[in-house]
Amino acid sequence: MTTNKKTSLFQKHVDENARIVDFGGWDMPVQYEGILKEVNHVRSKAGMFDVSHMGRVNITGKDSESFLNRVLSFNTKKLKPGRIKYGVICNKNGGIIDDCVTLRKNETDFLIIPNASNTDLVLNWFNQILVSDKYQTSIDTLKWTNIQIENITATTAMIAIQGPESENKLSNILQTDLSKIKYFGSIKIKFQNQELIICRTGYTGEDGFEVITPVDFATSLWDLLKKSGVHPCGLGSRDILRLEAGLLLHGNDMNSNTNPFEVGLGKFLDLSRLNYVACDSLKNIKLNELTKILVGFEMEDKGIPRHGYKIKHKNEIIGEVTSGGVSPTLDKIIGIGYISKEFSSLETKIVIEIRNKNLSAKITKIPFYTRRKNV
Amino acid sequence: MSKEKEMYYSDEHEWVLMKTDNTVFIGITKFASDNLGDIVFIELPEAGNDVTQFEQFGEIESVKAVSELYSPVSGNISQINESVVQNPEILSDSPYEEGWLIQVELKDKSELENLMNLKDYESFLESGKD
Repeated sequence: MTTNKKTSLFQKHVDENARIVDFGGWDMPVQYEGILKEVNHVRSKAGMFDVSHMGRVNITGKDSESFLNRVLSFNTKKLKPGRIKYGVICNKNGGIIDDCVTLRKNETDFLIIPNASNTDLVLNWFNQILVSDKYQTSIDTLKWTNIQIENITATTAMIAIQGPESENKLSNILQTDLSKIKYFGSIKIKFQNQELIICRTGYTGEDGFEVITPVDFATSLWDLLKKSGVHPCGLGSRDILRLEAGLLLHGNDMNSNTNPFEVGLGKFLDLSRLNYVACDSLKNIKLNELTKILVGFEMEDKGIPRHGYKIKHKNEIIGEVTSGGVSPTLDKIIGIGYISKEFSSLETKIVIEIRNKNLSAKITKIPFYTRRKNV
Repeated sequence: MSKEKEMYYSDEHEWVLMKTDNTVFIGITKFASDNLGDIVFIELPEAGNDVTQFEQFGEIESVKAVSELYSPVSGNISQINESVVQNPEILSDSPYEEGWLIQVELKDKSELENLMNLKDYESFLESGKD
């Protein structure tokens, strides 16, 4: 029997009676007091998630910008220090190895946050490119001499604080005015002699922060947050929150056989860069020739669409559900999945086959939920 | 909690409670309802249908998963609990009382011998832990 990995907050979760499940090889809390309650808490107040299982990889050195420009879907030269950008990492065929955010710390140093179960794949892919490029001496720009890749997942922890009260609560705890951090911005601070990276990012569709802390400080920070009224939440509610916000989950909604266009992530691609590894293959994908496309839908009959269920139109199978669930925020049952492009227009009636029953649903726009932005 | 002491239990976490000499209430245990988490749908057959011991008669769908319901006894369904179907949270709040699922007229009372008493069920739960 293999032992699952545990985050530095694992004992906290156990002590607080969270229900623990296996998630991508990690023992993680799926819920504390109840998934739907936790969703409501994040939408109305503030909740916190242990997201230490996600990867944290430092890419540093003079060549890091141009190396990342070769492997990331966007132009790293345009990313300013302190700013964060979402993108995808594609293989040479344009298939999505992972989707992740990248933080530019300064001129030469970057931090990328791959999904937990993809961190090793991403590291292997980066190393593969580093090695193979060595032999492509004809392209001058591809001689990487000054680049270090360091996986700091084990020495750091990451806590996501999400919800409308996040800014207020976290600012008070850290005695730092966080209102000045813009969405997808970040700052580095010293707090109780610990170096913290604070990113205004998240995976819930709410305002919020993701804080990267040295591993030894994680439980202290968790306790401070809890004391200030931020509720511990599990991955169950995180999954519903991200689904309501129309955010995709790699492994569920996309994988290395899907390309960014099919999942609606074409806007995160900059294909003007000739050195980008997936440039040629992605350029060859004709948008009007895409056969399947990711859509959102809501159930009209009672039933929960789950990953892998068939989507039909009348009796014909036209696609497959990739994620679905109850949305307490909208009081609806929602899902996303791939379907043949011809059936993808809004309001189209479709059928979800749920355990041999044909239940009706209709195509709706994603995101299902958009928060009201403060003025 | 005297009622729990009078109940019979299956290893699929359903309970049986005698209502009269030959009709019973059937429900799921607190352990089962706690494990399901937030329950969204309960699907039950209509009254008048037969159920067979240890065979599926319905489904409970929670936010995270679907679970089948297995009847702990054989017989004919005399009544279903409409209010728990309408408001599944009743099941989480009161699995042993208001959260009963169906009432069944027993076909063969001796089938109850195939079930556990509270003490045996508690040790069964204990043995399932790591």
